[in-house]
Formats: sequence, structure tokens, C-alpha cells
Amino acid sequence: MRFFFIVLVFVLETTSAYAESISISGTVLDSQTFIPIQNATIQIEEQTTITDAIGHYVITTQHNTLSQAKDTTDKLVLMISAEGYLNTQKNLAPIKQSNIVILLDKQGQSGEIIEIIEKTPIQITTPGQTDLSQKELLTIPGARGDPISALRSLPSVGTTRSGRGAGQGNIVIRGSAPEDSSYLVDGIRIPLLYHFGGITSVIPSNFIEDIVFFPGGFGANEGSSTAGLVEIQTKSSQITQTSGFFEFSFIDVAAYLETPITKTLDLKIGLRRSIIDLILPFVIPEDAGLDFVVAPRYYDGQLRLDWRPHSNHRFAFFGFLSSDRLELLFNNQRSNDPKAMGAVVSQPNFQKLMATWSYKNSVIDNRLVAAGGPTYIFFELGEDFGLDIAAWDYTLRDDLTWKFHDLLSLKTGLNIRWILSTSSVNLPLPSSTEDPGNPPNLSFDLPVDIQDQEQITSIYANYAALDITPSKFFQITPSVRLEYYAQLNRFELMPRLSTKMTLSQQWIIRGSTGVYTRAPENAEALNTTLHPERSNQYVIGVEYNPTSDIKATLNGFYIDRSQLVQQDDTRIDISNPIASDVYVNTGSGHSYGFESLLRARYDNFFGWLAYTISRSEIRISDDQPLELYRYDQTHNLIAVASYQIGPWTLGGRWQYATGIPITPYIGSRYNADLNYYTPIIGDVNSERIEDSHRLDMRIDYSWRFDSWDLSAFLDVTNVYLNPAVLSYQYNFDYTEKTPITDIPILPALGIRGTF
Amino acid sequence: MTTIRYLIVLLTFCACGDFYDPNELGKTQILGIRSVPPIVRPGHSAELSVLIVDSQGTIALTSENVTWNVTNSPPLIKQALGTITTINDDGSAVYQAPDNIGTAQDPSIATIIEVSITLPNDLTLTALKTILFAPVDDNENPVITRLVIGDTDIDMPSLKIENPVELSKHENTPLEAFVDDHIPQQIDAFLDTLPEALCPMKHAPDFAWYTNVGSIDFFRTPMPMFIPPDPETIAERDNNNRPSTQGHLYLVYRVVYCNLFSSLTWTEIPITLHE
Repeated sequence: MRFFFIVLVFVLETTSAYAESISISGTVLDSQTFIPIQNATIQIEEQTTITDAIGHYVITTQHNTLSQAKDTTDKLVLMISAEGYLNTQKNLAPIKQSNIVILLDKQGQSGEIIEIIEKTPIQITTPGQTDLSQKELLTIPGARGDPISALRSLPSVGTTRSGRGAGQGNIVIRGSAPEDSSYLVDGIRIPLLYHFGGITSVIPSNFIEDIVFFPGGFGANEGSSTAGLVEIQTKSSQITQTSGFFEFSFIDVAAYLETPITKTLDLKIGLRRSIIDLILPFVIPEDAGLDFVVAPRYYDGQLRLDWRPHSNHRFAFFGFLSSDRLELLFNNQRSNDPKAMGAVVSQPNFQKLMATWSYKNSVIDNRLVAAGGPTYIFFELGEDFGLDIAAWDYTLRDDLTWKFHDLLSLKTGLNIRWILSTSSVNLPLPSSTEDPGNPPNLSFDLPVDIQDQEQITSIYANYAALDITPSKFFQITPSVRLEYYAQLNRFELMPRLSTKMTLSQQWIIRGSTGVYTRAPENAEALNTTLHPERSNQYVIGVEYNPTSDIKATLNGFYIDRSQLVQQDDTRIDISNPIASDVYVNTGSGHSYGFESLLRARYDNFFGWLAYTISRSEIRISDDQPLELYRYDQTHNLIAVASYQIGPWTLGGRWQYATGIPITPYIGSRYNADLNYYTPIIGDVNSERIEDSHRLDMRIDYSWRFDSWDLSAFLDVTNVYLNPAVLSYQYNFDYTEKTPITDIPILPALGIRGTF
Repeated sequence: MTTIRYLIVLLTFCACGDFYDPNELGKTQILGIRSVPPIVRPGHSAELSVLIVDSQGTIALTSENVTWNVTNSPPLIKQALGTITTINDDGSAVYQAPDNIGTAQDPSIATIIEVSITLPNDLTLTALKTILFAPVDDNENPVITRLVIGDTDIDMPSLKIENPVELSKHENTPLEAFVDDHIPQQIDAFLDTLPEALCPMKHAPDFAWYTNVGSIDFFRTPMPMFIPPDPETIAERDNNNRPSTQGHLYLVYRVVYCNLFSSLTWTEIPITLHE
């Protein structure tokens, strides 16, 4: 095997270079007045062009390269000159790039000369990792312009058990539980990704520069996740002129302003509030048995300051908050649970303040982030039941990249996280993890009664990764992460490895493997005798690029899970029913499958076809058989296309997905003492809900005026009214059932004015 | 994760299926199992009977279509104790408790009785009742002492009231019941010794009203409202050729101890709806 490896590297090293056609476009502006500069000369290698009347340029060059475009050791030199202005030049990554804005100083002036508005695309490091362009993020049909919702159109992302009702964790990645994945903003975990589990994300698009989606196999720089990772990178680019927008849609209203304060300091501020709460009370049927006291209401706000006192130093202060509230009044008495009536209040809120210092030169790239803020989870059922959790979450992390040799760079860092929480809970235990048939009964189940329980949870992590590039055809990154879970008093060492082989201009092979752990969370965290959940991930993928606009990928994955926390109801101590006593590390399981993506990107068109086939299984303890995991989904096919013609953009998205497993009820027993029915549970996850398919469409139109733009969109989710079944509701004795479905159709009409 | 699961429950609440409400008696239902006495002394016996109804009213049982068994329900009720000694012609049964219910260190305080009723359409209904063992002197089921049904006041109702109560088919009728709980003092004292977590509420009243004509709002409260059916759906006529129909109200009253077992009584009230 070693011999083969050496020979393979040798063969690849002797392959000749190839030429690649690369297109660069953008605008040249006066640095003081921001007036477009006409007839400025742009030169790359042997190619030359000039800017048009609005300062716009497009230049294409045949660039000789030995590696894929995102190799940072290979550069294009962009030279710019214009009469009366200082000449300048800029090194660019040799890839297709657009919106490169160049600011030229007049002769005799000094100051910053050039700024790249749109950053270099994300480097792909692991199989299945996906980056989406701003345009794609904002115009994917069915996402209503919400960039994070666009994740649902990627391979490996399954539809969810509870539709859009499951809070943060409603992304199922490679058949893993939603809570197995992490959601980060600039490297900091956030408690909620979506308002009300999916209406829209808590960070609006204007603050998002990139969303990097790792379905698995990510490097040692991130932890506390045994499945995938969603990294939201907020926008840090320099603001050169005051601009903003006001947007109104049937979902919410939003306003945004960005402005330079000084040449080195700029400000971004955004506010958003739902208006769906004003509409819903009029569309809920009167016989639904519920009244909205407060319909789903959310708002969020963001404020960001970026300060660049020196070309090597940047500081950013980013504060954001999110607040949701829903209050329902259930008028109908439920026969099996007569106490489950009255007001139901759900109110998750959080605030986060982040301070970032970045230092970068040609060798060192360091980023230090301190973040903190409270999270409040308030949930109330009637007068007697609910939970009230307040948690202060502080994080300090530093990430350093040291490129000490052309072929080697070291990445290392630390991450310290403290969570101080106070919890009050008065609710019966939810049904056990893999036996979801018995819903908790407020009237008759013994409640877990915790009052003002304080807890300190802390995680300390260090990592180191070495990027080794022995040739431009081959890259290997061994890494290791050490985490210490203080409340469990356990160290976890997690070695990981990723490789990339560039076989030719068209073909790339990537592979990654590693160990991943995460600590128990929420009620499970009360049991300090547990071990962290664990997964070993193995991913291999091949990428084929027949042209610069078309890409096809095929990935195979296997995830081996162990030490999964299970709820063992036989351990309930009826005289002291504290939740922690029932959690044990007996679960294990695996997921495996293939995911493929065929993707096309042209100037006026983008689209892809994504297909995932997978199987996910679990056993609740070693002496139990493997069962389908509740997040298993055999087939998931997604087609996305968007075409721009003049001011019009028309897009469509179609999805077909296998129904998720459910546990059937095969009868019921009547409890004659307490006067309610309990279902008789069939084989766990032995049936599936119906397969689902739906079509979403979106149309955009833009008007351009002298000093501002106006755009309108209509985004319709589920055009042909085929709502997916999410679950079933049963009658009082569990002999009849009716489907609980997703929203039949959701049209969102919006208008945005940008100045 | 806990929050997420409760939000899923919330989602379930929001989706309201077009099902029969159990108070409407649209299908065959067991409404209660009565043990006389409700608490059984070790070595003594109790008579068990079951109230089962459908849209036509009370169903008469026979020994042929009823089976009684003794079973358990861990973790609290660990053993099946005692035996069913007799099944009577009307489907009722006699339960015999064992002489010994465990040691002082590990007492078995109760057992479970399971009744299965097979109906002519081969449908089988199953119900469970907990039998508590305790040497108590004052040991009776609760008694419904008085009913107020609209303008009609009925004192000391029995298990079955003979004369129909007349109700308007156009108006909602308030219902009210008065009861005597008969909570044994010795049981009350015994429950005081249990940890609160095990017995958060020592005893609680539980009303359940049913009807096979119309429906009942807040049917599990002491003062619900009878809602007559849409008069247009009443095809029958009375002697004066006015739309009229007959049916039943049922009230099942329990005293529930520690969310574990109950003493129970019921009454059946014939009603007539007319102009």
C-alpha cells in the first residue's frame, strides 16, 4: 500500500500543467467620490480590457495551473491603470470572480487603494462540503430569500420529523439526530437557528457573507458535534458608501442600513419583525379549538461595528438578539388529558455579543473571539406545567494559522465555553427517545419537579492541524482535538484526517475520517455519570468538473455511533422522578449512504440536482436488535433551477423524499381509574409516513432608478398544494388517525427598496 | 431537546382531527369499572362490574363475552396478586385478595385487574383497574347525592334513574352534580405518609359526563353544559308530531387517589329532547 502511494504521487507530479479559462469582473470607482471610472485599463497576464461608461469590466484569461483554483499558492496579478490615477495591482486567487470593486486614488492622494468586496470563495476541505453563492442563497425558491433555509436544498439534508416545529434542531444531516449537529456564527454556537423552527433564520441575509455546510468529516478546529456543521460567517467587508433597504413581505418587515463612519470604521444595523402574527388569526379555522392570544411573533436585531486601524489588524463588535413568542389558548378539553388545556406559551429569546480581533500577515492569520449572552427558554402549559430556563453562555476561542513553509501550515487553537444555567421544570418526562408512542400526559404522569436548579457546564478544547501539501496534486491534513467536559470530568481525544488528490483538471478525490464527540445537553446534562456521545465518521468523495461551470460530486459516507444517550423508563424512581436518573449511554447505531450533486453555474443561470440515498439504524442497548432510526430517510431528491433574463428571475425547486419512520399504535387500553386511554405500541419505527413531494417557485423583478433600486418577489412554497405529512393525530382511544400536515401552500410576496 | 419534544406535542395539539369526542358516545366505550368495596382487605373479596355503552345506551353483558384477569404494572405494581373466583351471568366478577400482601419492608400495595369484552363484531375492548389492599373500616364508593339538569332537580340519584328528564332541543342545558366522596380516614392518613413526589395529590374528584344525543362541553368538570344536536337532524316525532328524540346522560364520578387508583360510582339518566 505504501508503495502504491509513492508511485501514485510520482505519477501525478510528472503530469504536465494545463490551461484554465478564468473570468474576472467588477467595477472601478474613484476612491473619494465613488464615481465610476471609464476607460480604466485592466490587465491580467497577457489579456487587457478597459472599463465601460459605468466603470464595469470583464476580463478572461487562460491561466496555466497545476492545481485547482482554490489553491492559495497560485495567484493572478490584476493590474489597473487610469489616466490621472495611481496605478495599482492586486493578487487574486485564480478562479472565476465577480463584483471585484477597485477604488483608485487620484494622483497626489494617498490611502487605501483597493478592496475586495466579494471575498474569495470558500476552500473545499472535506467531501460533501458545500458553499453557496450569495445569489443562490437569496433566490432559491421556497426559502423566501432566507439564506439559511436554503440549506434544505442540499444533498445529505433530510426532511424533518416535525416539519418546521422543532426549534434549532430541525436540520437532519446524514440520518443523524438534529441535536448532533452544530450551528455557529463566526465560530460561536447559537441556541436557535430559526424563528419558530423554520419560518426564517435568526440572522438575516445582509449580515451573512458565507454559509459553509459540512455534512460531516470536518476538521479538528470544530467540536461538540457528532454529525454536521453549519458555519455562518458574517459580513466583514469594508463599507464604502451609505446604503440600505426597507423590505416588506407577508412574513415580516425588515430594515437595514450600512454606512462608513470614518475611513477605518463602519457600521451595519438591521431590524426585523414578523407580521405573520397579524395574519394568522384570520386564517385559522374557528373549529380548530384554539385561539391565538399572541400568534407567532418574532423579532430580531443586529448591530455591527468593524474597525480597521491597520492593514493587519481588524476588530469587529457584533451584537444580535432574537425573540420569539407564541401564546395559544386551547378551549377544547382533551379526553385523555383533561389538564392539558388553557394557555400554552412558548417564548425562546437570546442575545449575543461578540468581539473579534483578527490579525493577518503573509505568514500568520490569527482570530480571537470573545462572546457571551443570555438565553431564555420559557414554556408554559396551562397554569401548572412548564419549564423556565435561563442560561448565560460565554465562549472564548482563538484560531491561529501559521504558514511557516510553502508546503506546510499549522492550524491550532483553543475554545473555552462556560454555561451557567438556572432551570425550573414542572413537566412529565417526554416519551423515551426511541419509543415515541406515549405522549407525556399532564393529568396523570408524575411530573419532573425541579425548582431553580443551578448548573455550571464547561468545555475546554484544544486542537492542532497540519496542512501538508507535498505536491500540488496532493494535500493531507492530520489533526487532533482534545476536549475536556468538566461536568462529566472526562477527556476526549479526537484524531481526524482529511486528504485531497487532484488527479487532473477535471477529477478530484477527497476523503476524511475522524472521531467526534458531544456532551449531553439539556435534561440529559443533569446526569453527570454519562459519557459523551460519540461517532466515527468515514467519508470519501469524487468531484468531476467537465467545464468551469459544471460540477458533479459523488460521496459515500459511513457514520458509526456509540454511547448514545437513551431514556430508560424502567429506571424511573417513582418516589424521586428526577430526569437525570433515566438517561443511560446504552445506544449505538450507524448511518451509511451516498449523496450526489450535479451543479451548473452560469452568469444568468444556476441549478443543481441533488440525490441522497441512505439508511440510518439504532439499537437502544446491546441486547436489543437494530431498528430504523427515527431520522432515517431512504431517498431524497431535490432539483433547483433559477434563470435570469433582464430584470426577471424565475426559479423552481422540486423535492421528493421518502417518509420518515413512525411507530404504529396497534390498539389501546382503557385505564378505568384515571379515565384515559394508553396506546399499545407496535414495533418501533416499523412503518413510515407517506412519501412527500412538492414544488416551490419564485419570481423576482427589479427596477433600477438613479439613486435606488426596487425589487419585488413572489415566493410560493408548495405550489401544487401537496402538503407533506409530518405525523398523525389519533382519536381518544387510538383506533382512528388523521395526518398532521405541513402548511398546504405558503405564498410570500415581498418588496424591497435599496438605496 | 426536552423543549423540542414539547413543541412537537404542541404541534399535535394544534392539529384537530374530525373525530368523535368521547362524551358523544359515537362508538362502544367502557366508561368505568366499579369495585365494591373499592379498597380490599387482605384475604377479603370484592365484586367487580363494568359499565359499557354505545350509541344506543348501556350494553348488557354476559359471562360469555367478558374475561377477567389479574395482572401487574411495573415499576409500582410488581405482582399479579389474588384471583378471580366467580364470573356472574351479567358479566360481573368476584375478586379474592390474598391473605399476605408482602413484608413490611417490601409491601405489595396493589394489583391490577384487566377486563376484556368481546363484542358481536369481534371487536375486543380492554380496560384496567387498580385494586388497593388496605385494612380499612370505612370503605365505600362515593355517592352522587343530587343532580341539577337544567330546571330539573333530582335528589339521591341511584345508579339508574327511571323517569326521563325533559330537555329543550333548542337550548343548551347546564348540568351540575353533588357528591359524597366517602374518603376513608385511614386511607387519608396512610397517604399522608407517602412522599409528595409519589403522591402529589392525595385525592382528587373526577367528573365525566357522556350522552348519546348531542354533546357535552367541558365534560370532565362538575358543571358542564349539555349541547343538543342540530334540530334538523332529529327525525323522530312525539305524540304531537313535534321533532323529538330520546337518549341518555351518563355521569361517572371517581375519587382518584395519588393518580393510581380510584373509588367510583355512576348514574344513568334517560332524557327526552323536545320543543
